Amino acid sequence: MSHDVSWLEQYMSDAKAGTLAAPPSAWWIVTRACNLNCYYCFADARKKDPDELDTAEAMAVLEDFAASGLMFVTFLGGEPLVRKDIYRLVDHSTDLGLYTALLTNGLNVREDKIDRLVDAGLEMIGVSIDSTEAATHDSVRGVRGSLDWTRRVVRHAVRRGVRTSVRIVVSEDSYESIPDLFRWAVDEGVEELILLPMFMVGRAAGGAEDRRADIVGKRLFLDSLRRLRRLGEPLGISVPVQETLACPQGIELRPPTDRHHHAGHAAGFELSSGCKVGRFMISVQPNGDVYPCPFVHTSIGNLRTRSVTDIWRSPLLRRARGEDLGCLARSMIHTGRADVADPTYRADAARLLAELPAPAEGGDRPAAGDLPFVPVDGLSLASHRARGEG
Amino acid sequence: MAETMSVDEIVGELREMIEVSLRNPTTLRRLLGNSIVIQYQFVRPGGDVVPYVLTVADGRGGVEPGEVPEQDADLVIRTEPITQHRITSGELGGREAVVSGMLDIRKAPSMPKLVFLRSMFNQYKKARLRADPPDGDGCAVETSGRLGRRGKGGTE
Repeated sequence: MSHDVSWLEQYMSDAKAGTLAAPPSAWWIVTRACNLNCYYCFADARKKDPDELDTAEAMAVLEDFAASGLMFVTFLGGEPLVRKDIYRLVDHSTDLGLYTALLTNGLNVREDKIDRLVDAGLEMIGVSIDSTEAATHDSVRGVRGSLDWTRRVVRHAVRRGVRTSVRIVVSEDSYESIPDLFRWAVDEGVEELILLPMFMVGRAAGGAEDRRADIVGKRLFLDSLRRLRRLGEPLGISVPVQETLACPQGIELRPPTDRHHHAGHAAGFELSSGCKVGRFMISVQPNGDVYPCPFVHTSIGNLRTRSVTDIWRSPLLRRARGEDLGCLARSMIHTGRADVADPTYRADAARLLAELPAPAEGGDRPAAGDLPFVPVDGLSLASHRARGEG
Repeated sequence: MAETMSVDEIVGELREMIEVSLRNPTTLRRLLGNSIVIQYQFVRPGGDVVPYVLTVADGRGGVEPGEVPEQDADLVIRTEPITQHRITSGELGGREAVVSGMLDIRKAPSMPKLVFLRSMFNQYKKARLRADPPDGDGCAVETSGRLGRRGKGGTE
């Protein structure tokens, strides 16, 4: 058979150019209710919002997505599985032809829940993890036993044949474990590992050193990608590295010769460089508000009253398409505005750190030990607790 | 598991897929303002190509031998029948099939049409799954029925 994917490459090219009529993907926080209490939660998930979209409204949004040509929907939270109608939403989404994924923290997710999701047509399940050590993972999550649940979910999802993704937020807590988590994911047969920088938004925000934490966190993230690249090479696993942006990065753990190697990767979706705002994604809040990305917390419209194609034409997204502004989440963190350039983009981190006010002395900072960074307020559970918020 | 499939068999499967889809109210609602025409070019083991046209519109659908002018087709697909079977059975992901070259899309649809096509595939996959649920440990099992399916763990 011949192998012509030029139409798909054209689609990717159009997306990158920002000329698509609708976003290719939506990251949908279907609820802010959560059974865990992670200190870095970008959604600041705790309890259900009073104005959360109900089942009928959520199904109407999915229909709008399908009619627009949006291809990928990822349900997340909070913990999406605390929504009783989540199986109906997954079923409806896949009935509509949308590639449907779900991110869970794994807590109390018995095998039969995964089976119900797969039976409803779920095509990818993502599970987040912070460490191979229960003491660390459970502390970060705020619930003892949560690592065991996470491992159990991963194992059953792989056994059921649903594409499985493991997600790691790079923090001072997870940094050391990342190589071990990488090896563990490979050994378990996980297909994708997503590495995310910690963004100082949601529950992570509010410390005196958010800007410093962002800059150091960005360095940890970029360094982690480089470390994983060295680890992956002998295994035939190609780990993309980033130099300037520090945007969540998907890593395909199966080699390209594997029959289940992700087509999206091969076509370049996850390898697309640059900020995806206005090009590849939107993020939906529980009440239907649309954010440019999960980490850029500013509303550009609401799906209760406007279609996704209409919101996709918002002035902020047009601006992001017209100019390479870097990471708009960092624009917000450093300037309080999403419509200006990211000051950390292509900037020297040492210079940026030197320009910041000196960090406050004292506190309960953990010792740096052999780690290649000085602990920074906000990048670890210990420092978050020291604020009195942990 | 089947290693080969005849053109007649895959055409039968596509007809069954349309029947299943049209029984789903979600599809029917979307069909009110929608239609899809797919020109299939099935490649036999010897290399000869057998054209079929899949049409769904106005709440009806069918798969018939023959060709339509390229401008009338939303999508032109060249593939071996067994590849199409593996996609409709859920054994092979559509994207994997495209990128591996097993499913050659010779005329690409608009994204809304592609999503609509996926909706028919998905409903059929789910119908097969419901007709033939996994075994006790959650793994898919081999079956021989019309609505049988295989999970990825049991393939090849």
